[in-house]
Amino acid sequence: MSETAQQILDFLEQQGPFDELPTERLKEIAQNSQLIYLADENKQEMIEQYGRELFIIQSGQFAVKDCDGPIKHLSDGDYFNFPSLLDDVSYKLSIVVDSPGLILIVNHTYFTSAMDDPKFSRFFRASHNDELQNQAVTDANSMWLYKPLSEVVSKAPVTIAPTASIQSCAQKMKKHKVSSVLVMEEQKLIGIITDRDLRNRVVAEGLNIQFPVKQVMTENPAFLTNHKTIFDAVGKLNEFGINHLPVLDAVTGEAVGMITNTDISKQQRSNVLFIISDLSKSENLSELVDRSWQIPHFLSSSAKRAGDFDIAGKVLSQATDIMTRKLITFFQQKHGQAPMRYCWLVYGSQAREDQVMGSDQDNALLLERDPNEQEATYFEEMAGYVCMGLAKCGIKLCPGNIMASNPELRNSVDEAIKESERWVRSPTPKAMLHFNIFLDARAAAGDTSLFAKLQEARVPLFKKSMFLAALARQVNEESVPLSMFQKFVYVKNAEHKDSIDIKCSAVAIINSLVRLYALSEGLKMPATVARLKNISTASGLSDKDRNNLRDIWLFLNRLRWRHQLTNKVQDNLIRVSDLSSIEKHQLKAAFQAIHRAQQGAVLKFSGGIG
Amino acid sequence: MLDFIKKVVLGRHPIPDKFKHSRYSELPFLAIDLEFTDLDTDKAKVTSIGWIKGQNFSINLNTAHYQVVRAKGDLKQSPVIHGLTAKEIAKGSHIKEHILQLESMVDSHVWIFHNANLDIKMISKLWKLLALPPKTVTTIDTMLLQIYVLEKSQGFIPKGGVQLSSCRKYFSLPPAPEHNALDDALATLSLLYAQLYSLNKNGHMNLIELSHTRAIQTFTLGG
Repeated sequence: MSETAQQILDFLEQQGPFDELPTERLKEIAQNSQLIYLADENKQEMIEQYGRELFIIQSGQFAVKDCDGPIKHLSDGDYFNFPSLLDDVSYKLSIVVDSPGLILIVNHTYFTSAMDDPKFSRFFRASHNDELQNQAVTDANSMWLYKPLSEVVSKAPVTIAPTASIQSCAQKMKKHKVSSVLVMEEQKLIGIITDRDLRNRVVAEGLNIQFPVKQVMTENPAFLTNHKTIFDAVGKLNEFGINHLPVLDAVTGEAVGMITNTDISKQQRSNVLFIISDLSKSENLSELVDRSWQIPHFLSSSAKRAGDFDIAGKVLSQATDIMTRKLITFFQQKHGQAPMRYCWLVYGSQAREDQVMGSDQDNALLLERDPNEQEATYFEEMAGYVCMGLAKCGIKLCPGNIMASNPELRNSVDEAIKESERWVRSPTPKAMLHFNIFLDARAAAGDTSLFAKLQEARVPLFKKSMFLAALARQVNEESVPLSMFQKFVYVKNAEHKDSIDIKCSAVAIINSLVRLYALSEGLKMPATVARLKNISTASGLSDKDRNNLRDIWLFLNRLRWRHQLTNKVQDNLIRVSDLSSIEKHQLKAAFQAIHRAQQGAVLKFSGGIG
Repeated sequence: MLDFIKKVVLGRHPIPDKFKHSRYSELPFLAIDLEFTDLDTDKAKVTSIGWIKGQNFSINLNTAHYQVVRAKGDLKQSPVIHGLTAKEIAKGSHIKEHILQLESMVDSHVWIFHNANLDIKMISKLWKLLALPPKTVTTIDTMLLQIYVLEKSQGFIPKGGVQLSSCRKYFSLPPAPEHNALDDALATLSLLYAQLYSLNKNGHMNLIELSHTRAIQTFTLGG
């Protein structure tokens, strides 16, 4: 009987996805493999001899073509020649040895039998298809939060006319076994009646049950349109302290269903969401500040699973939105209502809802018209109060002064439109850097119709090809941290020598890429995952590309959150030594895919001129 | 005079003809490592033995051999380093079995050691004890080869520069667990491949052409 060399066993045990196999299996593989020294001079002989087996690089650097795809530059820990094993097609294997080294050759029979293990096979099939093997993303317990309400709400809502009697309303609720009814007038939602209303406003008051429902309904209730997600519903239900939320068609405004707390609690398993309801209860600045400071602590103690990391950015952004709205309310309680309509805009990560701890605030005020001196003073004071308040709540002031407290960022809608026209007219690299952040925008408070008006005007502007070409060139300026031989390139002079800036050199690139495609299609939503969902195949991104980019984005985001929460830091410098073997492979695959997507975008939008 | 020159050039014993003109890609290699209880081979006892075969820049992991050797007497520190307990050693097999197996590979293989002197001394001592007929074995010593490589490239030998792990590092080979006879043998053989490749990239060189490195030696076991 032959013996197992520990160094081969150790190597396999640290090598995803072999690490998924039982030790006995690995011993068998270790005993029945070949270890070869592959150099340029003997490669032809080796290819002839081992052309049917799996190659695992232990040392050295090689440029390999092992299928119809492009040449891959590979080094230690990488695999090759598996495509022909998977497809059972003998692709011509060609190798350029850039530096010779040791290769472990695993016999194809052992490879084939290991493919019975689902995790093992998923890894190789996904590598073959250039996909991120990220089953976990779709399995994750929080992915349901990304579902649009249109997919969740299937039952038509129970409705009633405002003139109907309270009794007939109660009978209708009994018949349909529902706890709330929408009051509709000419296809428009004008109110809602719930079990609680019948108890508090009718029975407790001894009201005549023949009165029309109009008298006891809640007028102009909060609602959501059906393209919003469950997550949005959770936020709204918590913020308004309500149990029922009507869902309207995004286009026609017709009621299409109702979503309730019970619907959500059936699926909700993550307690990070309690941050939102907790913040909503604050009644003054000091309470709000106290509760806000609990957020990092709460996140690090309760976000444990990958699924929690997926929504942590959303939770934090929603929390910042709520802080903003609360602060505006506190200001107005003291200084009165605003002298004109306004909209509080947020940019960058808060707009995209992918904030992390340490994200600074980026916001602005959009005004109905140019203010007079007195009005200007009101908004100056309000903006100052809110921005300082956010800072007190732990959302750092923006070092680049992209804040509503900056007078340049308190514009009328007309002025904001003119400004966008200027950006598009002369998209110089310097100007692009300056206004890039404004391309991900969202209304967080105030009159959202002002922002809608601005967006209407911007959509055609941002679709202009010269503008998109400039954006594409900019997307290509940043590169993923991989060397020619697919080794990680670490940040120089970082505290930990194996650090990678996952924000600048990965997440931000995807955000920019996705923004580019989204703007080219005239999409208005700022969130990267939502944009990916809505980009059409006509954009030049295939369904596969979109899904892959989404998985990669979520994966990177997870690594980033896990890094921040487990290492208790606010930076984006993830450490490669913190990653599992599979994650290292995934991260490399992610970087490669990002690089390909960058090239694709340059080709599509700027005629290949990077 | 000619004998003297031959001795200087070819080492103490001439390389047997069957190996002399073989290209090193054709040579059958057997990498061996022994772990002892003591560095003094007169007093030392073998605690474990490992070997593995290779040819043409390949190592067939199926040929891996490893055995703990039964030993009596004072184990000193060494077995602790080698990760063996007295209990394991007591259960081990007798050294005779392994030496007999090695005897069958004296003529067929070129033996590879990292620091051949110590291991050969030990094997030779056992050869005598077992009253085996003396036999000549051809060896390549990766430690001596590394000395040649380092002197040629750097002109000096850095401290600790010829330890097995440092040699592997020099050729960017992955780290291997130390002080296990089989792992050391495997690490030695893969190191040899990297060394041979660096000395002659096309692999057409004969063993005799490597003589100038002084790493090729022949020894008479039991002589």
